[in-house]
Parts: sequence; C-alpha cells; structure tokens
Amino acid sequence: MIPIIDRQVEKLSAIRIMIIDDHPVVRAGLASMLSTRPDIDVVGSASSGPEAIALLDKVVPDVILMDLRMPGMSGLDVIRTINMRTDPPRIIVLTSFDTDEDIYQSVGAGAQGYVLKDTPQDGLLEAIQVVNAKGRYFPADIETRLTARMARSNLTQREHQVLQLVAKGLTNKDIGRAMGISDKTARNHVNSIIEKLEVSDRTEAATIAMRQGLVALD
Amino acid sequence: MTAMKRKSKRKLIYSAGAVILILAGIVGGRLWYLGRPGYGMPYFAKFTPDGEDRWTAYGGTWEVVDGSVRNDSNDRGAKLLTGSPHWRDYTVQGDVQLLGEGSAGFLARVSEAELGENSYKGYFGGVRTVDNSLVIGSYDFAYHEVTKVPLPDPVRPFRWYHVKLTVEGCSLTASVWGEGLPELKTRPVIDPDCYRSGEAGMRSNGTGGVWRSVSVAPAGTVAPPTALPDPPAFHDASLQPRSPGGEMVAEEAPSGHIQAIRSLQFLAPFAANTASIRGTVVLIRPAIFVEDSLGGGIEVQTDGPTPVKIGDEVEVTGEVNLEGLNPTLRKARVRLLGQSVPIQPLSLTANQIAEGHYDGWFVQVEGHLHAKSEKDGRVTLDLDAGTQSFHAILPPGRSRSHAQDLALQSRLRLRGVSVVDPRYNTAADPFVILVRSAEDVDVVAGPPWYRPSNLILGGLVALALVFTLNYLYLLANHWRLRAVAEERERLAHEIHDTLAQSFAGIGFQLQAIRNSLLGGAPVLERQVDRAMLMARTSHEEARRSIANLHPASLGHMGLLPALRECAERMVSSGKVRVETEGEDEGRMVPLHVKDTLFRIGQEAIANSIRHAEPDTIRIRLHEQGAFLALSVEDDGHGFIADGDHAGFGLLGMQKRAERISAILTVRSAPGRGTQVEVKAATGSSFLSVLWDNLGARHRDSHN
Repeated sequence: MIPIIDRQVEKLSAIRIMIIDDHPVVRAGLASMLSTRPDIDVVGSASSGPEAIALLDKVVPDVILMDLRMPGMSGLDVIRTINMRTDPPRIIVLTSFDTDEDIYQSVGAGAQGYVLKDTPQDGLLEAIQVVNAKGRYFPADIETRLTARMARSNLTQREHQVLQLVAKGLTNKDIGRAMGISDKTARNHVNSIIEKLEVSDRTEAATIAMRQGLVALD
Repeated sequence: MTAMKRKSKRKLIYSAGAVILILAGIVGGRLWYLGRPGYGMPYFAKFTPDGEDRWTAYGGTWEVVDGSVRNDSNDRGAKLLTGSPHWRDYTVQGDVQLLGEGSAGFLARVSEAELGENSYKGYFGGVRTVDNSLVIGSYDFAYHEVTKVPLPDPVRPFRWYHVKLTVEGCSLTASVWGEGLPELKTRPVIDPDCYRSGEAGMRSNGTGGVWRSVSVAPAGTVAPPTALPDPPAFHDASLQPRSPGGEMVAEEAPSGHIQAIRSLQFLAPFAANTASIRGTVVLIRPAIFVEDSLGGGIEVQTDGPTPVKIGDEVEVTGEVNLEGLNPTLRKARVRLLGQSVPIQPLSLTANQIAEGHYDGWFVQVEGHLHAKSEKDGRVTLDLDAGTQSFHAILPPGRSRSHAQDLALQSRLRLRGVSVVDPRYNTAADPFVILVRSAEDVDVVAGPPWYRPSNLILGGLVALALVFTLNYLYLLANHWRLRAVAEERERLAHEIHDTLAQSFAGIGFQLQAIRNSLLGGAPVLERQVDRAMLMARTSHEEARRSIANLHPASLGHMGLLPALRECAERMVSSGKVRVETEGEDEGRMVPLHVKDTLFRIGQEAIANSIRHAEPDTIRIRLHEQGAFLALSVEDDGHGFIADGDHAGFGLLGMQKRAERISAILTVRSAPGRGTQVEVKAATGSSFLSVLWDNLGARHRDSHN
C-alpha cells in the first residue's frame, strides 16, 4: 500500500498533462513515454477538439500537448476555445510541421510553446517544464521564424480566405462568387495581399503562401 | 466547383445558341430581303461606262455608248439580263432601235438563260421587221408565239420605238408607240401555265439594236416618264437595207473588180490604188475590220459614221494604203449586202498568230493574265502564252468592270481581231487582240492556288492553327499539372496521417521503453536508442516527402534561388555555409525537368547535411550545350561510392533522374567530400516538350 500512496503523493506535485491528437499511435506512445516520468502525470487524452473540451470539465490539466492538424475542429480553434475558459491550462503545440504560418497562428491563438514531434525527449520535457512555469518555449529555429513572420504585416481574416482561393488558382470572379462578394472587392483583397506579402503578382503570392504555410494543407 | 463548371458550361451553350440564332436571323433576313419580289424595283438603267449596272450578257457584243446600250452584232437571240430571279409582276419598257432586219425588244420573267437563240425560259415583247408587227413570244428553249399586232407602218431600222412589256399574274400585254406612231397595244393574253418570276432584260435577234431609257417598275404603278424619240441616227440611204426581207445580194452591180483581201498587199506601193473587197464585218470599234472568205482581214477607214454591225456582209471600196505593215482601205464606201450571224473565230495559239499570217483576222486565243492597266477608260490586258506575250485591248464601257473581276494569273480565252499595227500595238508585241466586248473574255481557269494572296492567307491560317494547338496543348498541360498537384496533395495527406504520425508515436513509445530501462541492460539500451534514431529518421523522411509532394514548392522561382533557400532553411540551426554558382537557367526548361532537378538537389543537400557534416555546400547550375547540369558538392566526410553504400536517398535520386532521362553521377571518397551531379537534356521547343510529356506518360504507364 505504501508505495501506492507514495506514488500518489508524488504525483500530486507532478505536472498534469492532457494530450490531444487524432492519431492513436501518437497518443499511446506519448502517454507511455510521459508516464515513465515521475514528475509528469498524464490525466487525460482526447482524439479531437470537442472531445478535449468536454474532458476539460472533468479533469484539470496544467499543460495541454496538442496537434494542430486534426479532422473537424482545427487545432487553432481548439486553442482559442480553451483560452476562453477562466484560468485556462497552458498549451504546447506538438506537431510534425514547422511552417512559418503554423507557428505564427498558434502563437496568435494563444499557444505558449511549439515543439516538433521528432524532438528528443529532453526537449519536450524542457518545454513542458518551462511552459508549466508560466514561461514560453520555442526552439531556436522556430523562434527565428516566428520573429521573421511577426515582422511581416498581418493579413486580415478576409485576406486569408482570399489567399486560400488564390492559391487554388481561382480568378477574381471565381473568388467573388465563392465568397459572395463582388469581383471588384475580391480584386482589392488580392491587391492588398500582394502588397502585404511584397510580391509582384498573384502567382507569386500563391507560391509564397504555399511555401510559408499561409495556405492550409487541407 | 463541379456545379460551377456545369453552370458555366450551360451558360456557354446558351450564348452559343443565341449567337447562332442571331446569325441565322441576319442571314435569313437578308435572304428574305434580297428575295422579295419587289427588291430593287423600280429600276432605271443608267448605262454609264463605269459598270454601275450589273448586266449579264448571253451572246452579242453589248456595249454602253452615250447613255444607251447597243448590241452591234447580228447574233441570233443575243440577250442582256438584269434584276432579280424573284421579280414577279412588273413592266419593263424603254426605247428600242433596230440596226437592221430582225427583231428587238424586252424580256420578262427570264430564267435558265443560256447562250443561244431560244435558250431561256420567259417572255419576249418587241417589234420585228419580217412582218412589221408587235409580238409577244414565250420561250421554253423553243419559241411559241403568243400574240402579234401588225403596225400600220413598216418597222424600220434606225428608228426609235418605245416598247413596253407587262407581266401581271398570268396576263401578258405589250405596247408600242413612236414618233408619228400612236400607241398600239396587244390584248391582254393569259398564259395558263405561266412562268411566275424571273429577271428582266433586252434581246435582239438577227440584227443589232440600241436601247435607252430602260426601266422596270412593279406592274400597276404609273409608268415613269420616258425619253422622246430622237430623229433617226442615220440618213445614209445607201446603208438602208433594201427590203424587209433582207436580200443578201446587192441589186447594183459591183463598183469594180472584187479582189481578195490577201492580194492587196501585193499591189505596187506608193501608187494610188483603189480596190473593192467583199467580206463580213468582224469588228466595229475601235475600227471596222472586214474579213473575207478567202482568208484575209483588213481595216476599213470611212470618212463618216458607218452604221454596220458585226456579221453584216459588206462590199467596201476604198484607197489601198500600204504604208503600214499591212494594207488598210482609206476613204472607204461601205455598201451593205445583207446581214448574217457573226462568223466564228478561228481558234489559234499565240505562236501561230505571232507568225503574222492572221493579221486582221477574227481569232480566238488563250493566255495567262499577268497584268492589267487602264488608260482613258480603255483596259489593256497583258498576257502570255508559253514564250509569246501579247496584249488585249478591251473596248471602254462594260468591259471595265468585267476586267476588274479578272484575277491575275488566270487563264483567259479571248476572241477578237489580231493586229500588228503600231497604232494599237504600242508595246511592240508580236500582235494585239482587239476584243469586241466584255463577253469575249472568258476565264478558262482561275489563278493557281499558290498565288501570293493565298499563300499569305494560308500562312495566317496555319499560324492561327499553330497558336490554337499550342494554346490547347498548354491548357491540357495545365489541367494535367493541376491533376498531378491534386494527387500529390492527397498523397501528402495520406503520408501525414499515417506514416509520419505513426513514426512519431513509435518514437515516443520507444522513448518510454528507454526510460523504463533504468540502467543495467546496456545492450538493450543501445538497441532501443538505435530504434529511436530509426524512428526519428523515418519521421523526418516522411515529413520531407510531404514537403516534397507539396505543389509549387518551386513555384516560378529560379532553380538556383529555390535550392539556395531550401539549403539555407535546412542549415539554419547549424554552421554550414551555402554557396551558389552559375546563372539561373536562361532557356525555357520543361516544368517537370525543373521540378525533378529541384527534388534531386534538395535530396542531395539533405543527405549532405544529415550525413557528411560539411563546412560548405556548393550548389552549381550550368548550361552545357543542350544539357542543364546541376551539381551539389560538399567538403564533408564522403563515403566509398559503390553500390553497397547507395542508400535510399541515392536510389531515389537515381530513379528521379531516370524519369527525365537525366544522367546522375555521384563522386565521393572518404574524407574528400561528395559531389552529386545531374545532367538533363532541356529541349525547349514545343515539340520536344510534347515529346517529353508523351514519353513521361508512356513511362508512367509502365511503372
């Protein structure tokens, strides 16, 4: 009995972690790995945003590790929703991708850390500890990109949507039709995007957008 | 997207339909407008020499002279038609003058007209000398007299008669009046199986005629004012025919000994010779030419106007002038012996005529038109036939507009009088053909297809075709690339959702095992560490595959800047220096070649950073003749470049290179760095791009 009590006592001071990832292998592997650490307690895992939000009513994690790309509710929306709660848990994005826009948007949505899935254990543990201690954790190369991305003028939500369509090769007319705006308005948006991204035409805008991840994979 | 496509497709069909309907409407409306029975009516013939009136002649030598049109030949059934085949009920009228014994008048509702006396369907109304009457005739390739009314006076040549022919429903009426002749009308005649519509026109038979003040107006309207008859044009009694019957032999004895035209050239020169000849008139303008049955032709110059017609048989007496190359008759008196149909031309080649035996003869000859010129309203055609070149002079008037329609390089058949006289032959050609009228120029064959205008047009059409094909090709290529991009996207998703995530998960799981091995099992620890490394590498590779599959990673950026950016991104956390060298590909490189080179370069850079620990990576791009060579070189560890060491990375590069028929060379030795070079042929022409793509597809289908 004693060891069990000990363990529980020990775990009381441990960092409580929740994992949100749509991939079961990731969830299972991550949970196994973190469970072996005495200072970490995996209190729950969810395969989607809504499931995680529901689970948050039952368990109170200190730190959430979550993927950005999930079917249904996107990772960014999940971060925003969670951050609307009173005294929200800290959030670390744990993903396979490191595009400028992913990083930038995650931070914008309210994530405190950004770690790639192939980061060695030590890096991940460090991230959990730093973020849990009310800090922010970004590896050096991600920090560099975030700074660069921050320096660029911001695209509005609307311009973002337009850019997605531009990247798909739609004309102003098509964009107008798809978004329910006039093609003149669509053209204005495109011009504004071209100006903000400092490119010469829409093709280049689409290219840059894809390369920097301004356009979602899905 | 599909709904949108379908919608725009439907829209396209609708607008195409609308365009077709509008075009059909325009064409239909125009056909209806031109086909109206009243189109072009009322019509007043202008008879101006500039060819404003569009007349079609069948036989005769129709020419416009002083606001009238005249046929100076004794052709049987010479016709001149105008108007619309849809004209129905109308009155055709005007002043008519006969030039000899025969008939002349107007035609109505003419169709199926051809060359020949009775060769048409329709109605004729006019006057004739044989029974001094006003007649209406019906023609269906044979003559049927419908009605006739005798005139109180004999019908005389050179006197104006105003003739009027009305067709209304199936009722036909004709009337005539003239100076000293009150209006005389036929009763309306009903032709039960009448012709319903057709063109209007003029016709003379057996003699020439002159027409003026010709008009066509819908039946029942008020007749337009008509010209008053002029006094008869000629008073020369000697030229009046002798009797209505038109006897062929003169009553008077010939004025002297009749000579063969050919014999005149053997008369002593410089002597005042007077001679008489007998022959048939073959040409009137610009000069009278007479040809006799013994094979000779001669120009006849009279002091006053001489109202002879082509086909008239005449006796000419005059002074023989031997000053020119061939004799002429001067101060000639012409006596009409009778009138007959014009003689047929002698069909000759230009070479035969050039020999000179046929001067003054009425001939037919063919040649290619190579130039046209006009002076004082008189059109001259330059022709050549084989080695001979010659001219043809057309009379002023109708032939001018006719000549405008002749295309250069056409093969023409001309009828006219051949002369060598320098008064006509200013260009010193072997001979000149004096053409009687516009109808004496036939087009045997149009210009050859390879004339410049056709070649230019053909070139333009071919150019347009090439552009269209090119556009279609680009469009198809665009669609194909789009499909490829979509498929790549799908694959990227697939890899992300399965492989990449699984490797990540397995990595975490292995870390969990590693954490549990709290020392004491060093072998196991090493193996787990290795497994973790493998999982992490695999994860990294999967991520790279996803990035590679991502479309437009190259975009329209140059190959070299793109690779540089890629390399700088990969070394961003390290201390490897990236150097690039060479200019970007100047020529157009097929997209898939560019793409493949980019991927190979990317792989080579990644391998170098991952395995070789270099200080510097040098990326070079060079054109070598028809090849584009990309090389990625490092100063890292290097390896033994043999088959055993070829990892998956090298194999992948090799496969990619094979797909674009490029040559991949890897040079490396331990401690001496590694160089990966790929050489790709860059056919930039449309065809070679097409070939590449076909080849690529072919290879794909075999994979």
